[in-house]
Amino acid sequence: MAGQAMGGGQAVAAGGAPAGGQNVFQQAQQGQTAAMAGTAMGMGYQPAQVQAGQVAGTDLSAYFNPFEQTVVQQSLGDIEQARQMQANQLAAQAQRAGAFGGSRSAILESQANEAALQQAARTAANLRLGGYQQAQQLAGQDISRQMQAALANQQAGLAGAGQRLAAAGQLGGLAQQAFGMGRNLQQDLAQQGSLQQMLSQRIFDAARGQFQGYQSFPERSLGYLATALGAAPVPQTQTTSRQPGLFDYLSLFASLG
Amino acid sequence: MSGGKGGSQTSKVEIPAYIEDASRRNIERAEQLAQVGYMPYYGPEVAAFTPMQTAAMQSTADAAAAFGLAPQMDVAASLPQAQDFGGVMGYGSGNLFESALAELAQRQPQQAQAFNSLFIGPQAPGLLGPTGPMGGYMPMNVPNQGSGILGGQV
Repeated sequence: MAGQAMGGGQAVAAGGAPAGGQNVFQQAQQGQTAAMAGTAMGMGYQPAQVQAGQVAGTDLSAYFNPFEQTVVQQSLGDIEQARQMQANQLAAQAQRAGAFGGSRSAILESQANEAALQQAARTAANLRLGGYQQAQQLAGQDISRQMQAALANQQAGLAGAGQRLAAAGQLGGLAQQAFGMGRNLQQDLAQQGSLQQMLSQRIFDAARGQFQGYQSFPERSLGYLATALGAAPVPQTQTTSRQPGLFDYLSLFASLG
Repeated sequence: MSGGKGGSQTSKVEIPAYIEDASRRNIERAEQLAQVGYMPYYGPEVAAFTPMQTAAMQSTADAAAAFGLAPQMDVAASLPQAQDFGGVMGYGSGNLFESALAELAQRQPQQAQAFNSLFIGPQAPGLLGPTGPMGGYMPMNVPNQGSGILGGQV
């Protein structure tokens, strides 16, 4: 029965983690750590600030028609050309009437020039007003689009933060699940291992009982004879002998005499 | 018995010889058995942890280490070496018993010798001798030839 020394933990490699990588508790720990970090980030999340834009103070130069000046100059040139044509016509009419250089001719020419100047002023003003209004409108539209984009980004940020927070919660749940699963397996291992150990213990106890029976047998064998002597009737022979005394002899002599 | 003025009467009970012989042999046998002394048990007594149990313990240690509650450790290293008793792993106290006797013989040699001289020891031939199957129950370095009650006789 000489024992051979053997190690006690053959099933588990030294250092803990079974072959093949992380055990479930390491995964649970990492999951929990990541979930806590994600939750902390979610708690500290600040949504993007949205600032309403204003046309006032906005640089509108980018919204003006870059060809506006050309258009204005072209329009003014057209007016000037028309004025000159009208002036030529008025001069020709005055010449045919023999009034060229007269006061009437000068008045007509002056009226034509004034009208041309007014037309030029209106045309330039309208063109520039239209350009400004268009630039204002374009800038307003841009500000509106920027606002929409900022709001959309803000919503996307909030949605992303919510999604990450939910994922952190899910990760925490998975970590908890992994921990519970590991604990259950642990308890199963311990329970079934205890059953196996109990079996071994029963074998040892039985062997010990056998040895004690062997050890105490001589003592019990002594009792067999004692029991037999006590139980069986022992035949005894009783012998009674009498030794006569002085009176016995005197009595005998008296009876003889 | 003899002597009195009135004489005397003697009564004697005789036990059959075969019963008397048997009783005498039983007493002699008891004396022999008493000389045998204590017979230690060298077999297994405590079952060792099974691989499943050590795996569960290792798993607990790993879990504690994973959560920073304990350093990484090998639980099998902290368990006493189990012995193989015919395919069943376990522990027996026989070696510890021997160690205790050796310690007693070293620290209290006279007392150990006096005690040992009362019984059959490892110096005696036979089943309990040093070369017998039981291997003796006292350390080899303890003489069994003291001057006790049975010194030198066994």
